[in-house]
Amino acid sequence: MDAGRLCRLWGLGLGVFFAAPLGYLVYENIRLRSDVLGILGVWRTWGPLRNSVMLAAAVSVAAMIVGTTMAWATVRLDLPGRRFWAALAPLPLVFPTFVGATAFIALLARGGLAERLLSPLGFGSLPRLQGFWAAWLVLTLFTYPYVYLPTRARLRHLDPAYEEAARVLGRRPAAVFATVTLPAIRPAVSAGGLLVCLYTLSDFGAVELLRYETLTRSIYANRLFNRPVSLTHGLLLGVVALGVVVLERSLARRRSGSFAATSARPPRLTDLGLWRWPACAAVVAVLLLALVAPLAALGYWAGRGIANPGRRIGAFVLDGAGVATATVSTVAVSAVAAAVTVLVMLPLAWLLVRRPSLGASASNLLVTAGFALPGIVVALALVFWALQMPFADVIYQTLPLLVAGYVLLFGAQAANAAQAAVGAVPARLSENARTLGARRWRRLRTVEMPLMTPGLLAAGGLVFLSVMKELPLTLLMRPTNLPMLSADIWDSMESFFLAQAGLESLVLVAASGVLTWLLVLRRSEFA
Amino acid sequence: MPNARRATAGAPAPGDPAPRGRIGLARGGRVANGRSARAHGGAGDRNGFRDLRLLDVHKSFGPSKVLHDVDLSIESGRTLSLLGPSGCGKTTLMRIVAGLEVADSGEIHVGDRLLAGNGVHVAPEARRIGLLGQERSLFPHLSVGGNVAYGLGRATDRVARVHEVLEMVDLAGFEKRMPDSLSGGQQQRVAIARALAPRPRMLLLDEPFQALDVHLRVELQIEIRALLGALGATAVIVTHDQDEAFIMGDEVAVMQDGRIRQRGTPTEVYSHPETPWVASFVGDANFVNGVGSGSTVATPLGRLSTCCSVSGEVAVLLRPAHIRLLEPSAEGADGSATGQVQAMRFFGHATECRVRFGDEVLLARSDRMPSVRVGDDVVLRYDGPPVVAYPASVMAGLRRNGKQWRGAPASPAR
Repeated sequence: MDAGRLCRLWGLGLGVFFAAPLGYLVYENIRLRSDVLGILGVWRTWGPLRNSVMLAAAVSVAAMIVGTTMAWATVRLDLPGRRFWAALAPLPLVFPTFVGATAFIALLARGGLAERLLSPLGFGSLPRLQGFWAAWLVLTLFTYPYVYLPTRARLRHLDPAYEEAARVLGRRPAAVFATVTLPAIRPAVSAGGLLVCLYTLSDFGAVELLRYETLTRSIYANRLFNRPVSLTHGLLLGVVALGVVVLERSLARRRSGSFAATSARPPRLTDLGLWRWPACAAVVAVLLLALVAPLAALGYWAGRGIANPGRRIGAFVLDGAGVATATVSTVAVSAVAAAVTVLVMLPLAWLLVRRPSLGASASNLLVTAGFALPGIVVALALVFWALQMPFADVIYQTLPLLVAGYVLLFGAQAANAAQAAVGAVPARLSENARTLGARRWRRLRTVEMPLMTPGLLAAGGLVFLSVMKELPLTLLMRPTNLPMLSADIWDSMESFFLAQAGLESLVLVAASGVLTWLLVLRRSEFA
Repeated sequence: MPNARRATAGAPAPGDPAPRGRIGLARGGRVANGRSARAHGGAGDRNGFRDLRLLDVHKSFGPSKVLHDVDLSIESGRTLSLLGPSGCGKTTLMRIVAGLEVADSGEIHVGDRLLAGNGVHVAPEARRIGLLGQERSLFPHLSVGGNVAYGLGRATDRVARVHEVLEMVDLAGFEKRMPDSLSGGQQQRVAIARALAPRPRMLLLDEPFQALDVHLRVELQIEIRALLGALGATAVIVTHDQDEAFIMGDEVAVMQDGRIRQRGTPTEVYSHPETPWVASFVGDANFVNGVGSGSTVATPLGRLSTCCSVSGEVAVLLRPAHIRLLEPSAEGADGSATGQVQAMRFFGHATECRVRFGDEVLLARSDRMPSVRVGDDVVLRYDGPPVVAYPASVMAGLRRNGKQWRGAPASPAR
């Protein structure tokens, strides 16, 4: 059997593997005769669904506005310190949203930083952070970079000739922005908005911590004692997420014509005069909220925990050794998951680049759909499947099943990056090696692997980063004795151990910050 | 009034450039009739086009001075080619006229309106100047009709006007098409229609044919020239290509290092260049040393008559087409100016020879079949109009900085 056929079989298997979770949910819904229509008919279902959709819509719109405004302000306005703010603006990306929520809860907690700063000014008790607006605020602050990054790139490279032509044709700057600039950046804004929407739909940590009843929260709450509701909600969430992707794709397809975005001419700065100061203050305010405040709150609690080693009560509990162990095992598990994911995806990537076929594209579609599937849906399917297997105790909450979950969730990311890696090896080079007498394995070892390595490392790095930040899958599927930073932060927050949560969060943010820098920002203009 | 207009348009007024090419012939009658003439028909202009006057325009980007003291005026209805090498400031000048850059000092007038200078800076959207840029800048998200109507605002006759200008550029019926479904030439015509639709007071065309292939470029040059003529448009065409400048402009202004070096009709600029640099920028040029005495100059090719009085040591401009190469045995060859053929290039329609002549290498071009071969001795004879001569001191400077020579391999001054 030659390598090509092996790859094809592998690709087919992958397609089935990635379709499995959703397929399994459908099957379970039927098998358990969970009365889908009955459950859909009661308010208990529509409430969470409505909340999920409302939150996703509100956060997407807000993130698109904040991200676009930040991008536009840092590219087009003559703000003092423009480049500095521009480099800081994508950094909220490094906070997983449950860490963001943790930070805001810690900030406003009794005895927290906000109380300390505000009580001398006469503020008595601070509001409790919960509900729709809390979730909306936290999710918007930590997801706007998904819009900011592509929109900024687009604005920087958009050919100024379009806007100049519009000016010369008699339109004022505001009209030019509405009729030319916005249509030109729309693809970037809406692609970013799609990511934010998916992220919000699948978010579990922030809405659970901030007590806003969405589908993810209902899935989690009902998973033990009300399986049919949990299953139906899982299916519903999966369908909504896929629906959002399909909708965005079809909207994108209807657009025709593309703006040349390869300009070497630098964009023209708008001279704001004295208005530059309030504009700059607005940008700084966003960064204060999304970056400085959460870091300060986490650092404050971690610091108090370290400064009071003896106190074993509530917020001050700090287990330094536990943090260290969790860090080590998080890194180890993430590395294993990254390596496995990349290896599993490589044949499909090779197939897609070198031997494109209908079957490969179909598999790729299923893999990509996996990206849209929320982590908690995948986790739910895997958990239920494992629990009702005859050998359940052998696989349930084991490392292999956990890694399989990560592969399902982040396979699409790895597949994309791996395709770029395979693309970095021109077919011509393999052919040349062949005419020079190198057989399959020698070609792979001496020509293809060395050229693919940087791309594959990048693919692995992306998976590594995502695994570190993933909460619901880790929470539901990790082996009970395996400490993971994300799940430990969660546990600490359940017990309101703010110092512990703060320190763990800082470690997680620092690690994800380094990786984000290496993988995302270093390649952009900020390096 | 409308009747009078129609009559004028039907038979071009004396002094108007005769419509050339199919646009001019086919559309000449439509262009100036009815609405367009009524809408902005001021005194003394057709279709609302006005004259342009630039006074003392200066511009620097940081420490580098881009424009010095630019004075330029164009009468209403005339087309000026602004010719210069890349980086000479011509595009910056056009951007200043359009209002996309702000000049450091100087004034810009269009018609009787001050657009810039004396603390005034009219925003680009309020200038009513049509611009056709280097890049294709059609809005890709709008149809052809949407693009052309973009500058029309809320005018009541949008549809009719869009149809009218599209007809001018021979694209009637293309309203619904999207720009990316058109060829490069069609896109550029839509861009012209879009610039014309709001009835600008003048047009700026900044290297409008640069992105097109040679064949299409020539075709479009002819059509646009005819259209501008038929409309009576005031237009500036920026180009670095001297052929294009000569084809497109009623007049040519040659620019170098941010200054206008010469301004005149194409024939004037070509046959009486004011500086050696202009001479070699607008065409291949040979320079030989000479000593002037009144209306003649003594050169190694013999005593030649000059166009204007000269004295002392001079450099004499000889265009390659005016140097004839004769076999030493031929009749009329006096043998005093003998050179040796170093290299030859045969183009079919012409033959170019590089001839070593004393310390110099001269370029000679002839439309005849080559009668000599490389290595042959030949006699050089000047066979052209009275020559132009420059003081030798000017020449020395040009040789020293040695740049901007066209046709480098055949360049005689190296």
